[in-house]
Amino acid sequence: MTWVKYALKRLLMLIPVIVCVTFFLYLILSFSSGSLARQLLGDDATEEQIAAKEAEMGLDQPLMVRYGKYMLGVLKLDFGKSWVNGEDVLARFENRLPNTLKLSTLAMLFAIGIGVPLGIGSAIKQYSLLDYGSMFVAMLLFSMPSFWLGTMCQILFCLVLHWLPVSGADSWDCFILPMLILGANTMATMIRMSRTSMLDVIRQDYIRTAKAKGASAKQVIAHHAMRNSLIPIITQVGVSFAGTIAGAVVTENIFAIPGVGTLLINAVKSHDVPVVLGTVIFVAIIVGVINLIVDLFCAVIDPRIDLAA
Amino acid sequence: MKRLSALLLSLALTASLCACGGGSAETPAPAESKTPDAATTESTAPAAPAVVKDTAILATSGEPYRFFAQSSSSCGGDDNLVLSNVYDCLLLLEADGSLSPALAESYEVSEDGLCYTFHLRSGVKFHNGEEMTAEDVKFTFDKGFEGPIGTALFVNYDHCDIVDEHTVNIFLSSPYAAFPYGVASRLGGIACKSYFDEVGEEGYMANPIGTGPYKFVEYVSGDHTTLVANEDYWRGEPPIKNIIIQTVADANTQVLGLENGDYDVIRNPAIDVCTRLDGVDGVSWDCANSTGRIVMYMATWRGAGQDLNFRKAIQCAINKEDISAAMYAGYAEPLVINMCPSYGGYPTVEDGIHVVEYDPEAAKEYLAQSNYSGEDYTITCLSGGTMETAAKVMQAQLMEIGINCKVNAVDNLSFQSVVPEREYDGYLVNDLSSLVDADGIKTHHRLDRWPSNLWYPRDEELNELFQAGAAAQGEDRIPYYVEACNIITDEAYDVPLVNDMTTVAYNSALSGVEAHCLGNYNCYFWSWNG
Repeated sequence: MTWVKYALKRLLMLIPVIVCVTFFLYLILSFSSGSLARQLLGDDATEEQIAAKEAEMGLDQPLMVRYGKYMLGVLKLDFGKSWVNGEDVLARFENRLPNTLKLSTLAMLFAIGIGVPLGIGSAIKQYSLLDYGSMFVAMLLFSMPSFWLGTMCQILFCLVLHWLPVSGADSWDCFILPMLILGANTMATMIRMSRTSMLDVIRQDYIRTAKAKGASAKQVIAHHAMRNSLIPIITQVGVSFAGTIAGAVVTENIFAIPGVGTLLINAVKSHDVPVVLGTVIFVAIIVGVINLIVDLFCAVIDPRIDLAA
Repeated sequence: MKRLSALLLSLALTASLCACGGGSAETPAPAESKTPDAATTESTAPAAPAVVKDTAILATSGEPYRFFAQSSSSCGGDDNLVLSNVYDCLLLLEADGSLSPALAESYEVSEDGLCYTFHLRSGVKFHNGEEMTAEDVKFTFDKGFEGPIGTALFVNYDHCDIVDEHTVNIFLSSPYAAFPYGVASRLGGIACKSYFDEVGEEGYMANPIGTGPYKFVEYVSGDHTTLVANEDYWRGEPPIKNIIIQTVADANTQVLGLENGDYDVIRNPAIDVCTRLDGVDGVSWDCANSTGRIVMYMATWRGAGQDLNFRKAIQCAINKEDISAAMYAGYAEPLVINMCPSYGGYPTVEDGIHVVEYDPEAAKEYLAQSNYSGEDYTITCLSGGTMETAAKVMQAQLMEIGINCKVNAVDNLSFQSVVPEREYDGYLVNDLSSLVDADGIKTHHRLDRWPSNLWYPRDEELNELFQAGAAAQGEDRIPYYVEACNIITDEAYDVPLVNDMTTVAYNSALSGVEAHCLGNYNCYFWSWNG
């Protein structure tokens, strides 16, 4: 039951994080100049209409009162309604999350499926053609901005080869290019991380001992080196996966995928406070849960990790 | 190792160059020269569709989401993508800015200009099967006038009397020549009173019905809105069964999607993007003068702008051809006054308006006569688009005559706060006029808008002229606007730059797509060739 206690403790630790993050966001968004009500209603709205709209949005109340009311609503799972189109924030997030989860999961599978074997292979065959090749690919993918790579891939695979649609999220083939673009950078990280990790492990004394005792190279890698080298890789997977949940803005934008990233960025641009706050809370919870799962997984792989401590 | 790296690098660069060149490799045809007057181009070999399509996909960066124009939530240009297809107005605003009959077969104006009598078409049905009657028209105007854009689009509306089931009298509080344009605006889409009584404002917004050529099907936030043809449409069933309005934020993706056949129409692409599409198989584009004016308003209440000679120096220092080249690849027409030539009541040079020519030497002389002592002069504009480009061109031109000009490019919300707070030296804006009328000039001089208005010293005098011009009919309006424009020019309150433009790029297999002066998309007139 140690892990249950650990999980609960970690989940409870999310509460102060969410309170701090939402409060600072509320504060920052309240500093923005201009009247959102006027922007929504247009220049010709009367002062009375603007005042009524501001009252409807709760902007006629002091900041702390607004924030307090919002957080009380959150406790009742009422995340409010969008100031821009009046939609329920929770419903909007629920609509967008599947696309983002699909994209992030595919991108991570792509990055892990290719990046980790390449990185481990290049560590085992250090200074070989495979090593130089994979490091070159990693550097290349790491250096290319996703908006450029995305557009180049759209031109090549859509306009020239006619293999894939340019954008959308309504069929499986729509996700191939976004998966490659979103996963490219993570794959580069995975190659470098797994190569470094494996190199560290295979230089350890216990590996030399295993070799001295006559274990074959395959046995040494599979039974002794692999498990130990996976710890930092899994941690990195957790960090990257969490990053793609809200960080796929550029990819979602380029490929017109209605996901969480575009929801958040559009809400920030239009100062749609309930959507910004709601999305940030959901993302914080998801990121917290992913990190928790990663930690638990690390403990399973490495018995030396003591969750109770 | 070096040879290996070089080989890999070469391979990567070759692949990248192939990818970059792929789109244009098949389109070597040089761009045709084109004027805005004859703006539609067709590729020499339009791709014929293998199968007759029944759907057209319109890609837009701005998402429509307010589907009931008369609501208290207002509505904007993005919403009009849906509104102009789901609703019909009494009059239709054509692409060139002219008006034609729609739900009203005809109308008359009383001699005093205070009463508009509309004779409604009979047998027109809403999407729920109910017949459109005078009661619905009265409801639309009463409800619309109460809303946030009521006073802007139903100017001087007073009340609506039902004469009989198919005739209404709309009364104005004072004459207003441009009133028919308000009738044809997005606010004038006739809504169903009984349906509103049944579902309320929220229900109407979520599931709108009108008498238009397309019925609303669904709205998926951040993704698309679907419309389906109204089989009982009074003009006849629309040729294209489904219209999908797809939200695509990235402009590059829109263009690539059009070339790839993912989208059939892209909304308002930049004009340099359009010119790049010349010669691309299966893609056409069109552009037209919009009803917007790109204008810089100059503050007379702060900084160097308080000096008339300084403002006149700015007027003379701006080369509008350069602005047109920077913003619209030279397609936009320079403005001589703060009105588009398409506006009703537009006065010409022959009518006696004063024109300021580009003259850097005269600008230097005016500057020398002013009290300017090298302080910063800041032009505020929206960031990230053609407005910022125009501001930078102006900055260079003003610096050339010795004005220390800065550009303050801000986001939309901050930009909107700049005017009421009067915190600008120069304010560069695209002033749109939905009413396609000379009355649009009053935007920054009107007395009934913000409490802090009456900014320019002669605003009171100007407002009397604007009111007289708006109340008069036909040619009688011209003298008032001539006098008002000359005051604005002589006092150097603004620098009218160029006429804004609207564009549309589309699949060549589609007929009937054209750039509309208000950026409307009347999908009823679209059809697939063959």
